[in-house]
Amino acid sequence: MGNGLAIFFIILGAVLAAGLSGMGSARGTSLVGQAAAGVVSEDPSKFGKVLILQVLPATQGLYGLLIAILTLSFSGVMGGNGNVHYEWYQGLAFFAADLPMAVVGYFSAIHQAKAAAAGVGIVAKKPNESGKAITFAALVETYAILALLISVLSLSALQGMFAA
Amino acid sequence: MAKCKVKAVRLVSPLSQKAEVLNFLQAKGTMEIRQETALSPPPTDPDAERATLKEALGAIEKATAELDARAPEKKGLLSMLEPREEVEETAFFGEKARAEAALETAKTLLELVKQEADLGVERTRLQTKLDLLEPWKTVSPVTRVSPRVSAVTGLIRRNVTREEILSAVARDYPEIEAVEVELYDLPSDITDPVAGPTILTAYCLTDDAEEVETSLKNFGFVNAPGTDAGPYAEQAAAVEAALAENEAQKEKLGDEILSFASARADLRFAADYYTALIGQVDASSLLGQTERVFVVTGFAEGKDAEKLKKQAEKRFDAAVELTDPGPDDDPPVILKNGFFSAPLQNITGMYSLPSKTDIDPTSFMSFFYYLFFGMMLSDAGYGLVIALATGGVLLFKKNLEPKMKNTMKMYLFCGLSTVFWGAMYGSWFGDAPAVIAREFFHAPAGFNPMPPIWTDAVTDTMNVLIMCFILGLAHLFWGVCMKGYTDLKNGRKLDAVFDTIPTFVTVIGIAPIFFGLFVQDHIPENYPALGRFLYNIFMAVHTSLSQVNMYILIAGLALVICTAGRHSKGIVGKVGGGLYEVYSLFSGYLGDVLSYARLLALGMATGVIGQVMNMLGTLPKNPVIKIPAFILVFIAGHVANLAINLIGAYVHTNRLQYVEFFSKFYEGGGRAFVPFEATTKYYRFKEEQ
Repeated sequence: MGNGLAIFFIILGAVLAAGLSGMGSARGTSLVGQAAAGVVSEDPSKFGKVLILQVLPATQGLYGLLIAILTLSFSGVMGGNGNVHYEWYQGLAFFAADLPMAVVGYFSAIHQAKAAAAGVGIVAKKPNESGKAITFAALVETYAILALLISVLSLSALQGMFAA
Repeated sequence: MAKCKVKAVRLVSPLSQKAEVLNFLQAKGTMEIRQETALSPPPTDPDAERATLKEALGAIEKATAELDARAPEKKGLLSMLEPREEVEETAFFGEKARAEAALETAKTLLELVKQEADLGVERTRLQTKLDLLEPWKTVSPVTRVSPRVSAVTGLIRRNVTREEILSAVARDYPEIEAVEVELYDLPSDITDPVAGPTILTAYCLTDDAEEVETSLKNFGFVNAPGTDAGPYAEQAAAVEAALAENEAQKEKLGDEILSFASARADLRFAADYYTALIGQVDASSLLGQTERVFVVTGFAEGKDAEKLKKQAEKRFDAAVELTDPGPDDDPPVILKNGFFSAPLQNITGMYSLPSKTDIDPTSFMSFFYYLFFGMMLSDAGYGLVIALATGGVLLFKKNLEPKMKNTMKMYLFCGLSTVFWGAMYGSWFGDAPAVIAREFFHAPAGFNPMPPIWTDAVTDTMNVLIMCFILGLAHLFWGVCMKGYTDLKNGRKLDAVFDTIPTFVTVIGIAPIFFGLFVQDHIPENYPALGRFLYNIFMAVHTSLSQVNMYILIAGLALVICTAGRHSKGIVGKVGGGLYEVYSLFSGYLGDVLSYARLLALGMATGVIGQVMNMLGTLPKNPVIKIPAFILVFIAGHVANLAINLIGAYVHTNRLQYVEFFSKFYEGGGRAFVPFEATTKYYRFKEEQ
């Protein structure tokens, strides 16, 4: 019973990390994509510049995927011989480790998208300043990166603790 | 291998040769024309000329589209690779008559199309008329029976009974008593038990006729069509004949339009001819002109400029002056790179071209570009497909257009890099070799004919992740080196040292702590030899660095604090600047390095989806359909996976270059070179020997 519940929590954590971050990235890239399409309809030569702005909020989805795989791999649910034994609270600990990436991934993608969509306006009016537009949006990504770091560190710590 | 030397060009020639000179310049397509400021522009009205030409071009394009829609040309799968037809400049511009004839053809064709459309409108009108006559074909209505009694015939568009009609009239006009209604029996192909229509004749006293008709109309009654043109059956027959005639005419017109298909080549020529002329009108408004001469000013790449001068002075009574651009000029940026990097110039251009003080980053990013692309696509099978396809095109299509050639080359290199990483990770169409060996050749479980040279990215996540971070750090350091190089180029020797060394020392000091968070103490037992070798090297460097990294870090921080604020005034500003740099160094590099995790994430996504496709393919256990089912799922699944991940790899490789690499040293903001050339679709000008 304890082991089953633990594995449920581990899987739930992985699914939320990949799922929520992915949802955030999907919403984010779509938001910027709509703004970008408006610019490209006026001037197709700006495609490359606005594409980069659109890709920026895609990062969170990739980070979420990474955390999901690390969770499954560190806990031994994936890739091991399937012979894992956890107490339910240990599974819950893995779940908690996934939370930063899941929550921050979701919100930072959407907020980064808003900054990037505003940056699309910069590209429309002053194409030479697109580097600044990228910087504004990339700053938001810092917090997704911090969340990624904390999730990785927590997972790494858990692996060390429970393996012993 | 960098930014080209650009010359300012000034060409003066007699007015009598203006047209020829413009033809020449446009066919060469190597010079950018800028507004001549010293002399007044030609006294012509460019707007009117442009409008006339655009109208002609519009007609030709519309006619071509009309022909293409009716008689589509068969195009091969590789038709987009076909180059435009080569043509001599003099031959092209000498065929004015051909273009004008084609314009007339286009106008005739469009007139026929218009007639055809009119026939369509007429047809709709006739059809409606016929529909209206349809219920009346079998009826010959009575209108007036005697001076005192009137009869009115018409139709109600639903099925009603005599009682319903009579009570409706009685409700509206209770005082009218003498009303009678006669319903006609209609054949079942005309009427419907619910939807009708009902055809009827109402009889009443002539004095009441108006009221009865009003009441019936409230009920949905419509008068019968007039019989002046003869009985209904005859009228319907006449309309049907007109319809048939209409149809025949339309067919005739359609054939006539199709007979113009042979003029397609002329139409295409004319489209390009008028496009070129429009370009000349635009350019011509930038020229300067006096009573006898005209002046073209602009820029060209150094060697092109020399060539242009030689040829123009030989062919025309022209004088061409080449000078270095002055400080007030705004020369365009032209990039030139070798075989390996030239395909990526577009990628640089998509971000921003180098400014006056920038270096051309293309050749410095090409190695990492191909490397990262391969790492993100990371399937040797996909890489082979791309490399073979693009390599084949490059080998067998000698006369590709330069743009297409560069695209092919870029994907060739990307494909080769993908093969490399796919082999490192042991991914050949996902895990296809192992799956095929197991399912179709009864190999034992766990047998893999193509094992990874390094390690399996899907299971050995941590070590691959570390590799990504190391490559990322190398990429970032390379960017910092570029910063130093840019400083040197601009004569800032001190900056070249202070912008680079402190960063290197600090990041090297902190890196082992960071990597230590990810490093696993042991490596998997089944680790291949090369992987073990790489791992050991890294671990050796890591441990030896870890022992001294505190000192390196402290030295680095001291260097940063002492040097980063050097441009600020006062001791507070200098130290403050240094401290701020420490903060931005830590937060910046942390984010930058972690960002390279996408190399692993995207690579793993390709591998995992590929494995899922193979698994789906082996689901059917029936021995008869097993092989065909596997082949089908294999092809469809891997094509889809390749398509998705190709886009992902391209976009995210660009991102790593733009956001992580360029931000270290590159400003951008250079003006693109827009040569005066003909933006033709079907022809290109032959290069003179």
